[in-house]
Amino acid sequence: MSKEKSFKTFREDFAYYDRTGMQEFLEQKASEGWKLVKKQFPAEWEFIRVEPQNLHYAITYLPQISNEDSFLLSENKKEYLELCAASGWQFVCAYKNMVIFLNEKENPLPLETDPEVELASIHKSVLKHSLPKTILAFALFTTMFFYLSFSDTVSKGNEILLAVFAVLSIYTVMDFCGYLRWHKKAIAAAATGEFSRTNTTDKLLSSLFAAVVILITAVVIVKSIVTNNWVTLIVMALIVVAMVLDGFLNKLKNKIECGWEKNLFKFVSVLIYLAAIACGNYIFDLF
Amino acid sequence: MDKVSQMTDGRVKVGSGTLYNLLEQFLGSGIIIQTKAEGRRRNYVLSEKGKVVLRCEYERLCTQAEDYRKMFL
Repeated sequence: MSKEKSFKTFREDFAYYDRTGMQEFLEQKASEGWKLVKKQFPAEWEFIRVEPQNLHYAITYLPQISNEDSFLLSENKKEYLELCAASGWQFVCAYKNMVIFLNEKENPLPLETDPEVELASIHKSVLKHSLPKTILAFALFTTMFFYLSFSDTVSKGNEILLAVFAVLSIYTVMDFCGYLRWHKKAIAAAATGEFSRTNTTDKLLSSLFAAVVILITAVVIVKSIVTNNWVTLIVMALIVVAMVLDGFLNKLKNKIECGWEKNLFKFVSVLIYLAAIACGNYIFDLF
Repeated sequence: MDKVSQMTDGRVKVGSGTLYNLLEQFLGSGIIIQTKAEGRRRNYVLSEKGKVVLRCEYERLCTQAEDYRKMFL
């Protein structure tokens, strides 16, 4: 079997804390003959072709790690993996501070047996890794919204961009509110020994907002082409370039262990977006 | 992990992820102390604070059991 046919990357988006949804997705893929190799970007899962089998997956959150390398280099890693291996849980990969295990036993003892302890780890992880990004995204989108609201660019027919930034701002807030709602419900469930599943309406809401953003973007592109408004297209291309560069920096950042270097990468990421905004503004002013 | 299950006649089962998190949590709050580390094997004992916490929890449960006895038996 050629390498191209043996490996395949699937895109499936989950909330960061949706460990039950991710586990079910991975177990479904195993029954279709795909075994997880690596989790890459937020929504990318790399699989290898295997015989269809019933595998059990477990996802655990370790707030003290920040990526796979920091997990593999951590002092207690071997001790932890041995402890997990004793009940049949084999390490697959780590993503941010999420560690993924698989178990080939028929009815394995779950990796996490205390919902309160598990919930505390998830909450710490979300506060450490997701909250700063949510705040940054919200700040960027609202800044763009108010900047466009009070500048003359609106009169040049780009009011639709206002809608994009308004929708994105609302989305980031609602996304985090969705987590807080789930967390509150999960605390109550954990007190009775249950782990609360992620609310499916939150996932539906995320999909709906993503669809709205895609639709608005498509309308902006079509409108810009029809009206020969190349300025908007150039600005949108700049945003895409900034996103690609940010993704590239994220990949590099994951290979770094040192704290201050990581912060430097985060700072450069913000600078890239600010540069894209500044370039966009300059181009608008030119035309 | 197996010992916990044996000690409680299978009533309590502790998963490896939970055990690891609990050990980190107990170490952090000073409930247990690491006594020695032989290779990857680590030994822990209850600290004085841990003994007090355990005693308090035992007394809390005894009080609850006593309340049950008074009301329903």
